[in-house]
Amino acid sequence: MIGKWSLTALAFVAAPVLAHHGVAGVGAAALQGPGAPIESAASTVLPEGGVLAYLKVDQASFRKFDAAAVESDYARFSMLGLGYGVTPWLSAYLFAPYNEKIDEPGGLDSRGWADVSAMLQLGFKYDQDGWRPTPANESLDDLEDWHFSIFAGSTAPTGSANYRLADGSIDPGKSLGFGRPAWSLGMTATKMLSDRLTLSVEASTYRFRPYTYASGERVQFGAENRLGAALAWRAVTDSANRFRLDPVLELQFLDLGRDRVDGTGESGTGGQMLYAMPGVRVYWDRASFAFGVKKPVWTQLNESSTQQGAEGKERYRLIFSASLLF
Amino acid sequence: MRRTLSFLCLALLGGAAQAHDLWLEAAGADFLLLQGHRHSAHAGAELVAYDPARVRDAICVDAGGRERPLAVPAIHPVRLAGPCSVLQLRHVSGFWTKTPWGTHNQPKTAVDGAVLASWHSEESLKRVGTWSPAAARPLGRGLEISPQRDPFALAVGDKLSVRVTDEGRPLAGVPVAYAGETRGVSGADGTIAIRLRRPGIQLISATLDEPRIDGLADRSLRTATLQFEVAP
Repeated sequence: MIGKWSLTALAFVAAPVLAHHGVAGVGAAALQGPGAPIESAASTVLPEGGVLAYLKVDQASFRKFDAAAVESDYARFSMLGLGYGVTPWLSAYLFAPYNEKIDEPGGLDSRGWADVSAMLQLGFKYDQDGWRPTPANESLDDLEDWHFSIFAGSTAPTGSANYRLADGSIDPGKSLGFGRPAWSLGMTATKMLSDRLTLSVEASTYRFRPYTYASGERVQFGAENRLGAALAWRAVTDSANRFRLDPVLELQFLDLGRDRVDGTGESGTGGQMLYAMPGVRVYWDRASFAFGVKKPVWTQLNESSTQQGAEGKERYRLIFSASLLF
Repeated sequence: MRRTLSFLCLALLGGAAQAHDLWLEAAGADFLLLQGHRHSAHAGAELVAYDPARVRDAICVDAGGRERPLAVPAIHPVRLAGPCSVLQLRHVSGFWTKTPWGTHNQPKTAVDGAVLASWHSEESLKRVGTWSPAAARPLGRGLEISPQRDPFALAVGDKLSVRVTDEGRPLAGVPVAYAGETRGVSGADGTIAIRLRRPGIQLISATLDEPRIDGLADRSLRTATLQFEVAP
């Protein structure tokens, strides 16, 4: 189950925060333009010809339930990303995740580069003249309009799906790849509710294909459906130093399907949960940094008592991202 | 990136360059050129006197696009003969030199001592009184803003696309302000959309900052303002 997070992270590239087209770039206007979520995707697309370098670290610390057993301790998902503005309304991204899944002492850890992924994001907007692709140049007044994006991505099986743990076994949940491409599809909506408050919404789905591991086990991870909403408040703006600070409150609902092993639904997988994440996003010059603390505030997990180390069983997750626009 | 940086710099300079608004007020069929803060977002005297000798090149355009030059009387406030569908004029306040002891309305070559900054300031004002296709076309005389659609069909809250031109050619990367607040820069085709936020007289301004090489001032600041009215 943990293995799925590597894909999930792909869509959570709050990528284009910095990346506004024309005026909304990192200059003066960005200091007053729309805010962005900590983790969820935003509607902003990269400026044509713009390059975005991206780093994200997501560290999950798990609750422990059995002092006598070796349980999952923490997982750290790091990701490097590169984005390019193909047109003012189309951005392309490449991501390379590095996953670490660490058990308590005596357990079986895994770490290494996981499946790389690619994503395309199509931006569009709605205003008094109707629907249209995101234009190359937008004023602050344009940025107040509803903006949307559709994104689609796929992984490539570059990670080791048959990663052997220290005892020689294969645990699909700790593998570094899915074995076959997995795809994602989502959409975002963003609206400045005032000149300081921005609402961002994301809905997305992630689908996995069955893969037969070297152990002979045929596993299909359950589908992931996500719905997220974030409010960003422009609290501090220092134009002289081109600095901006936004407190952000983000809610993420996650619906996980049950995994299937050899065609049969796997016990102790899947469920629903709601995360709350307060955080802060800072803009400085051409860079943006975000930090948030994410906690599950409501869960309804299948066979919940058996899901230690899975989504919904975290004590907290620390999310950090940094992006730089060239 | 270069564009956004220049936007920041120009926005700062632009504010200094246009301390007062200029606008045209209907007086029967004619128009009075007024200056002050009546329509400004910031505080200041409602009306501020100006030197009528600074007003030049007034042009009246009728609905058919026919232009006629207007006589500019040397009496404050300047009264210009209407009716006009579009009326454009220039207000040239000339050279300004800032020193530690004050700001002088002279080129820097005429000022003794240390010079902190110097510039030449020129403003153009275009009032669109009625809509016609001619109103969307630049007159082609210097820096200018032209509406790209009928502004009188818009209500408060709507956006108006305007085009910034210099000598009739679209100009990109020029900061554009509404009610004294910079809202963005013109795009590659010179256009930018501005939201109309209050009823009454609308003033949309663009400021172009360029270096001078004649030695009389460091910079040339040209400001163009588009004026029209939106019903409550």
